[in-house]
Amino acid sequence: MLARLALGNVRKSLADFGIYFLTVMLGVAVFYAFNSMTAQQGVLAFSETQDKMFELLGMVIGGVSVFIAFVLVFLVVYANSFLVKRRKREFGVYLTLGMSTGDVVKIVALESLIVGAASLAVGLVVGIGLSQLLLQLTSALFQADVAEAGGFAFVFSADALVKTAIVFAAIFLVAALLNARTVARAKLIDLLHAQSKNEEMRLTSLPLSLVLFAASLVAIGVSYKLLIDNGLMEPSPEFAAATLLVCLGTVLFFYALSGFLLKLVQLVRPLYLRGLNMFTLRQLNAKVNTTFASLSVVCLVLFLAITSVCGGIGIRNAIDGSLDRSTDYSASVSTSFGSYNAEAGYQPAELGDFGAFAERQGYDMAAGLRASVTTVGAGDFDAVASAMAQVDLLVDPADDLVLDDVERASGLVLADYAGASINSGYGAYPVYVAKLSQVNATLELAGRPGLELGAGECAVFSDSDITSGFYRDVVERGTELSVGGHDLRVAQFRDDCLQTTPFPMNTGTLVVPDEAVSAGSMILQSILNVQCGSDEDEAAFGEMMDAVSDTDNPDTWPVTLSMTRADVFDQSISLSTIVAYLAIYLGFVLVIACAAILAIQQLSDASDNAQRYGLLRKLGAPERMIDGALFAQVLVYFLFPLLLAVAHSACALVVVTDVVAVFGHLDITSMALACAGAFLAVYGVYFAVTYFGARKLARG
Amino acid sequence: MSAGKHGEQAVRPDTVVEVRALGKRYGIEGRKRDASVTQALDRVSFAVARGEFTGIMGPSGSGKSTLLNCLATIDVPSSGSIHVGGRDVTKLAGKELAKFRREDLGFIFQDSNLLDTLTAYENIALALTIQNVPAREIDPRVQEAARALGIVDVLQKYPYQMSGGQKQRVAAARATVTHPHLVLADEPTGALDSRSARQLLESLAYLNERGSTILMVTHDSFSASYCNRIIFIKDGGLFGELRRNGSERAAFYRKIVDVVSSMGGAGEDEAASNEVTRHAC
Repeated sequence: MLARLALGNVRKSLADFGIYFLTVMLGVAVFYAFNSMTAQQGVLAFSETQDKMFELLGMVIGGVSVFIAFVLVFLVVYANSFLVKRRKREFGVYLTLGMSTGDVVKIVALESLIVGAASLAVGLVVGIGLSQLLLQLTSALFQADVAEAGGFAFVFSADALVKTAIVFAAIFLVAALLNARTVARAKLIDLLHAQSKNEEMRLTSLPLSLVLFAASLVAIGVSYKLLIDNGLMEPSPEFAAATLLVCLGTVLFFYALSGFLLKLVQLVRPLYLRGLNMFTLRQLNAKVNTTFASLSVVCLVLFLAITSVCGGIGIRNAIDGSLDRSTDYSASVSTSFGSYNAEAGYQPAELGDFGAFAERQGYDMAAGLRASVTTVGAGDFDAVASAMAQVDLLVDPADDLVLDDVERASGLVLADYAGASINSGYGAYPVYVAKLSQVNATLELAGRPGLELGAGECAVFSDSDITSGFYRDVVERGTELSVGGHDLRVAQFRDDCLQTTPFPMNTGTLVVPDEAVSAGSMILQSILNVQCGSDEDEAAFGEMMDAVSDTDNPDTWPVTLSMTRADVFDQSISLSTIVAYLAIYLGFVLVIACAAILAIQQLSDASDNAQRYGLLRKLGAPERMIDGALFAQVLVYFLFPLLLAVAHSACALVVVTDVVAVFGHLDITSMALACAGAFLAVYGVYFAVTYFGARKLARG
Repeated sequence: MSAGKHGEQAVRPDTVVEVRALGKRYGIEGRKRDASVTQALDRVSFAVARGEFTGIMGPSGSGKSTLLNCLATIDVPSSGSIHVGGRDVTKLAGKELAKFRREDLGFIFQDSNLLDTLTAYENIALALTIQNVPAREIDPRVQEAARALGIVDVLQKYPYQMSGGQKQRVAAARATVTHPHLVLADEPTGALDSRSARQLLESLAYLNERGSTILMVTHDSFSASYCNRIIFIKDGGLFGELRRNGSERAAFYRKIVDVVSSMGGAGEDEAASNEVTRHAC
């Protein structure tokens, strides 16, 4: 009997349950899809590093899911309370008819169960579909192929399914208990008269709205300026002030927005006195006291979601983009022989016996490594390394050439180009010198065009985004620098990467004719770039270098760092992909949460205002006009938080770009756009469901 | 004025409302004898001429609310027709219906039904903006309506800042500012104290003198005494009609009270006064 009543109620008020269903369904789908990601390991052909990274991803997602679960509990309870509020009168009637409170609680619980079970089932199906999409995405991101034939496999995780079901069952239980409490505590008289209770009218003064709106724009503007000027490389009072101001500005913005719109349109009489414009604006303004807080929260959460997704994906793409440039060689082995800075001058590294070995080999890496590999018995060096070239990065203590000198000679300031992302003491950094013959040899090895220098010329190489703009202008200005007693004009700029590395970090190397290098120059770092015939050779070479690096045998070459192309791909892509995935997961749930809160608020508004719309109808307002008024209201609530959040995000991303420049050029391209598109689509679906639901409620 | 029972009879040019053989049944169609069918209105016919201030009276359950709802196009009759301004409004639907409501009808409800988010001025203007009246015409018309009802000084106030009587006069201004063919008032004094009620009724009488055709449903004899003519309804049919014919309001009031008490009394054979024209039901 109770079950039949509950089922009937659900069927009758499908429109009311719509938002609830949509929210739980999307929550379940996203929750399952991301928690099932570890199952992809069984399907995709991962490398060992990628496998480890993926296990880490699984753990991080598990942790984040706890937070997500709390967000979902809040949402489900919020959506439920809207449903119960709408139906207080109905419950009152049940009680009047002699049903016990317990029975009513059971009906509500049964209804929640029916809708919950349905949305859980549909959500899981959608989630399983979504996880196939994620599989394809991972396969593309990790450049790992689907192991099974045909490149297509069905991924399913029973663990994630059970986990999702348990988490949501718990969420439903919490929601049902809270509902039951609401119903059990309510007095019959309040239930029956729930609808006739009027909301207290509090009208804000319109001139005050104008002042506050202006103040909010000023606060937001100032915070943008503070943020852009100071960046977020390190925590500073300016950053704290910017954060505080942007929050304050956002709250003020939404507090004053409706009053501002009202006043603005009132100034244009023909617009104000047209159709239902007057009604719509007054309606928005009357709700300001109850809505400005939630609109502010929604706006800031959307801002967080957009920024984290764009930033997360941007970091990944930045690394991905720079990988093309920074993986020219199968492997790069480097050895640091010393360090240099303006205060202390040249400091040799403590290499001991290994250093002596390098000296005996005449600092020839190929010869030294070949001998070392033979010594430790790690294999046949020449069988795997088919071609190689060495580059020495030198510094002449007599020249004392540092970035300060380049700035002085060119009249340019690096900080103007690098923004907030550069360390304040950069001026004391050395500018390395390399021999033209070595650089040309390594460029040839990479298959890149060689470098030609005229008399009295040198070139500058820098592969870091932080410095490239600066050096371009240095070349533009025809800057002259003194190297080893020769005055050389910086004639060319190249952004080629002189080694295989996860993060291009060459902040400036002058390439000079061999004869311009003075006898007193010291080697700071030697790099040996190697090309191998095949991926197997590359892996074998990597193992050889590891063996040389690990051995205690003093008759071996001091290897500081060895990187193969595969190492670089695994390290940088895996790590950044985890960041990107987390950003998408969080972003998605946050967007759903925002949209659901807005939707529920608008729907409960529309049902509270059904009487007003009825009056408009009696006054002869055409349906289209009333629909238009509703559409405008729902649009304002959905659009303004989004617009402001996008503005905040744009500003934040300008700053984030500086931070990300450390990893490479920030590239918010197709994938970020696709994500933004997916978010907008979800937001749009909520908007549409809200509008049509509100229309139905307004029609009584 | 006698009612036309025959559909082919032409509507007279000075007739604003022509109700013919109006019937309204609640319950399952086609089972007339069934106990579950309620006959709320049974072949009611009457007409209202331009410039009349007509009252409709009857005890609760008499069908007067159903009649008003049918006239207001909020409810649809089961049989018969209602012509307002020469058009059969029972045949209207959708856009036509909305157009009829905003251009040909003015409403005054028992509980003023003003939008509490709008000022008095905006509430009155709303009736015009819905019709897409050009903005420059709106102000003079709102001011004129406000002057006629003596509410110029409350125009910038919100409903919660006004007294019940002021609210009803704002509602009256909203109902008349569009110059509709017919103003429908549903127990407009129901929620007012006697002084405010008198003020409102005087305002309605004044609007009527200026040319508005008003149809007011009331159960209060005092309110009814401001009308030119009263139509009495009982058990879904016309019970009779009373005309003021220039008599003093006090005298008219006593006549109304007589009829009301005879209606409330046992049977029809207890006879109302001579002035009551009996209609076959």
